[in-house]
Amino acid sequence: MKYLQRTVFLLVIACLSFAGSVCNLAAQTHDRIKIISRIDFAPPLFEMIRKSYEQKSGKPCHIEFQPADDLENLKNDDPGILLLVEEGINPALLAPDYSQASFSLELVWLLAVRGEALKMIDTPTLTLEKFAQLVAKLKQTNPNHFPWFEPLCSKNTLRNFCLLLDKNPASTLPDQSINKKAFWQRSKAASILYGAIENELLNPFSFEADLALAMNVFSEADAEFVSHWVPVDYLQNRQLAENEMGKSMLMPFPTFDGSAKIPRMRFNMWQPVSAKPFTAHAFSVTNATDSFSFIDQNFASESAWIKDKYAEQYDSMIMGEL
Amino acid sequence: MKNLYISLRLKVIILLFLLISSLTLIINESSTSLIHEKTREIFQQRLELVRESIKSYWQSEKNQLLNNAMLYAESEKIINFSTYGLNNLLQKEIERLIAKTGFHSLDVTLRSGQFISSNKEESRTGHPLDMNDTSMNLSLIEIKYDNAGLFVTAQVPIHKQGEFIGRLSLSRKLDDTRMKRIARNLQAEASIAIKESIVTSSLSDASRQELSKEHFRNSDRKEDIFRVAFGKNIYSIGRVILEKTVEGDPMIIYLGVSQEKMLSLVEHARTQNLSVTAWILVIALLISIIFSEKVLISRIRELRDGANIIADGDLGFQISSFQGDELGNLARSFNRMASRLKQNSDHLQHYLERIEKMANYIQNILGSLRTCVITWNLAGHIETANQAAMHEFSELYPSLEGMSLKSFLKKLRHSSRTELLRAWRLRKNSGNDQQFEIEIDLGNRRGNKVLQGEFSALLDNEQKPYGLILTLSNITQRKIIEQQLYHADKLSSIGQLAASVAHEIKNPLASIKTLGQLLQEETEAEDTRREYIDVIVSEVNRLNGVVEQLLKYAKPEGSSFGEIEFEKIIKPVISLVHHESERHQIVLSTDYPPDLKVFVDSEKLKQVFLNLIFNAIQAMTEGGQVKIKAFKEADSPWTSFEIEDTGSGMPQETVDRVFEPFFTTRQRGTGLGLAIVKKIIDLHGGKIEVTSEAQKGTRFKFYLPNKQEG
Repeated sequence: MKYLQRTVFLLVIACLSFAGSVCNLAAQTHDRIKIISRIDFAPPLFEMIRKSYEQKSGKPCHIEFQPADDLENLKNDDPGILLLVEEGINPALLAPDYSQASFSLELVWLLAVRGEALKMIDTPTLTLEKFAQLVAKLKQTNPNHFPWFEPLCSKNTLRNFCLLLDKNPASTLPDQSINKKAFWQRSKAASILYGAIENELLNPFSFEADLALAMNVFSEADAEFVSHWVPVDYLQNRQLAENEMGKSMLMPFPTFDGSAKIPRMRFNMWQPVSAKPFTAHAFSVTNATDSFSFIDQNFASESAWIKDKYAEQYDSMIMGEL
Repeated sequence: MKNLYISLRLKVIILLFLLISSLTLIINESSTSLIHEKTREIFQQRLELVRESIKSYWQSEKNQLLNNAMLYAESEKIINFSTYGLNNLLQKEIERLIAKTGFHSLDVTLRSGQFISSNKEESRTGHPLDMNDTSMNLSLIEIKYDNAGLFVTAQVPIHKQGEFIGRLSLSRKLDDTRMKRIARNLQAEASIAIKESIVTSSLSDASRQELSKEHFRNSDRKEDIFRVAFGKNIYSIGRVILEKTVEGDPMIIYLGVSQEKMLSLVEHARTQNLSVTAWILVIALLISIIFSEKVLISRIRELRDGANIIADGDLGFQISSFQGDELGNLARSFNRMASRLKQNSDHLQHYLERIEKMANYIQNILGSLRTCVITWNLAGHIETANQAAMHEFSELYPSLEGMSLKSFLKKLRHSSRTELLRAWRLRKNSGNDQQFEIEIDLGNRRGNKVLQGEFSALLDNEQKPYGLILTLSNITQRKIIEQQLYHADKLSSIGQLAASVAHEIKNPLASIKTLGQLLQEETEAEDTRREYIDVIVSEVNRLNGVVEQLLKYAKPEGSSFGEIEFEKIIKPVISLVHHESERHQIVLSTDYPPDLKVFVDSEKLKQVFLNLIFNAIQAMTEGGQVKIKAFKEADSPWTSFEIEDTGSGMPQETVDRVFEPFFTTRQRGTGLGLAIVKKIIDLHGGKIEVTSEAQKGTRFKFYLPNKQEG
């Protein structure tokens, strides 16, 4: 009896090993990509990146993520994997025998719009004022509803707001009186966000929301406006956004002057030296056009800001004090 | 009718088996009844327990529902999504939470009146909640029955940091599936009735209909226990009123416990009991066999073996092991009986030995008797004959016992037969004794045997005539002795006469001889008378010799006995007769052991051999052989001597008279030689025999006693 059990057990193990081998073989046909970045990626964003990559490379892929909060602890234990490293991070820290491939990925930070708001927007960009009116109108339509939602718990999101809204050229009022202004008139991003929340336009839950929640809120249509990172091709191809997020559109986040400034982050592909050369279509850097410009993120300076300023900015945003 | 033999063991086994099996069956029946009763009781108790259980179960169900509702209401996402108007996410979260939980619905009603339900289509915007209603902050459970079914709903408030933001309600539908689960947990069928119908049940449709009928029929819907047959299956039903619906209708739960299980348990118990009973019976049989063997049969066998041993004669046997019971008493009685038998046997043996000794004694007496004793029964058949009788009649009959009188008489001489028969009749008829003599012819010149006898009465123990005893004494010897006495008397007279004559003759003969010798001296040799004178002297000498011998016979010389080697006796004799035997061409041969010694008067024994050898030589005129033999037979008190010649032998008449004095067949014999021989042998205490056969020779054989030790 014991012998029979042992035989069956061994057979099962053998079958599992065989199945594992087959799966492994299948997995080998996929590109395995590890993204190393300081932003907190959400599953929907991964999905977008995966689709972009597959479209460009013509190969399926699995994507992993390794946060780059602490550079000293970055380590790559998987020598065969492709690395998509945020520009500015020294890949030598991760893998000494890697070389850069002729492939890069760009993410841009855009405002996703859906629902009733779509009908209200007729221009590719909005001023903050216009945007404020829109959300106020939406709020008016449904007072129990918050039309705007942001992943403010995401450090990079707050940084982006700071990059875009930290200096209102039209603002002439001293800082101490900013709370008396409409939020869109304020000169500090934190103040603007606080004001939006105070006016119940921006969902207060944004304080606690990360990128994943924010994208969920948007996809569940609990907010008409949510800003988040998308691959740059979503900017160029509106259909991609619709395919991914339902009936929606992506647009640069409104600025004081309505100029289309888009925060951009670049990821370079690094591959093992021993691997054959990467065969994907080469990505050229997306150039700015007349209608929009990019604010390229610098890893070092962004990291330094996050380290030095984020907590202060976040507290200010919550407290409304500047 | 012949009694049927049934062994005791079988009887004991059957008895024990019947006893144990009866007891077992009674116990079995009792235990089965008891099990039945107890099972029924347990079932009743169980139903009571189930009734109690359903209350606590119901309470725990409600508590669980309430607890779940509270847990959901405390969920961070629920609270946040509710608080921040993320209704779609809330909807999704509610759906996620309720998925696969078994709850029917999870609803959130926000303060604004927004109603978000896990059943998405029911989500709607309603009226804002009345914040003044204090019940908004209460948790409650209510039962609702409508067309959609029977629901139990827990309602709890949702708070965000102490601020009321809405209410959450969690519903469970009490449908058949749920009832089956309840039934499984309680191990009893469960059905819920509201108003007039069974709204949900774990029962099958048919059973549910039966229960519905019962529910409808029984308007008095109190809590109680009753029985309902669902098809072939009988259920014990317990009715419990749990609580009321929001409409105020009592919710009655029927709990059914199938008696099938109970009956099956009872049946199982009965089967098990039967199985146990069967085993007990088998064991009882074995115990009966072992008990009968160990306790009874082996001990009875011991008694039987003991009886057999005693029957085989070992009366000293005693049963060694016995216990304090009836068989033990029997064993003791057996031992007592054996002891008594032993005593009696010893006495009997003693008496038997005495009787046997007596019988042997009598037998020895009869056997030692030289008198023949023959017993006859009244029918005339010989019953016993002693040794002497068998010996005396051995020439006529090989066996006497059982012989009839007629057969016995048949071989007797006529005269003997007549005398015996006369004496028989006389004794038998008149009771008088008469002596008689019978003569038996021994044949082959062995002469006759004379027996003198008489009949006497043989009485039984009651002194009644039983038969006759014939006693016979052999008087042949007496007859011979009488003849010999007669003859000896005659010889003695002749001898004495001859001795006196010889004495008287001797003196004149001496004178004659003296005178004759004087005449010889005085007469010349040439004188013709001288021849006559010589004859006279010679004849006188011969007469003188005869007279000397006559005197020697009549007046033997004194004896001088002593032990002497036989050779010293025979050799001088042989030397003496040597010339005479040669002259007659007769060969003398001797045969004796060289160390043979005899206790005799040697001079007289020389005389005996001299006389006998001379007689033999003179009997053979034409030569022959004389054999002299002497030997001592082992264990014999006699030394035997034989002198045998090969002469012409003697007729029987001569043989009969050969030892008579003066009997001679020779012309110049004195007739005293063999008479002197016999006289000397008689003097030694011996005896002499002579056998002779014509033309073959004569043999004298005499016996002399050996020296008596001490």
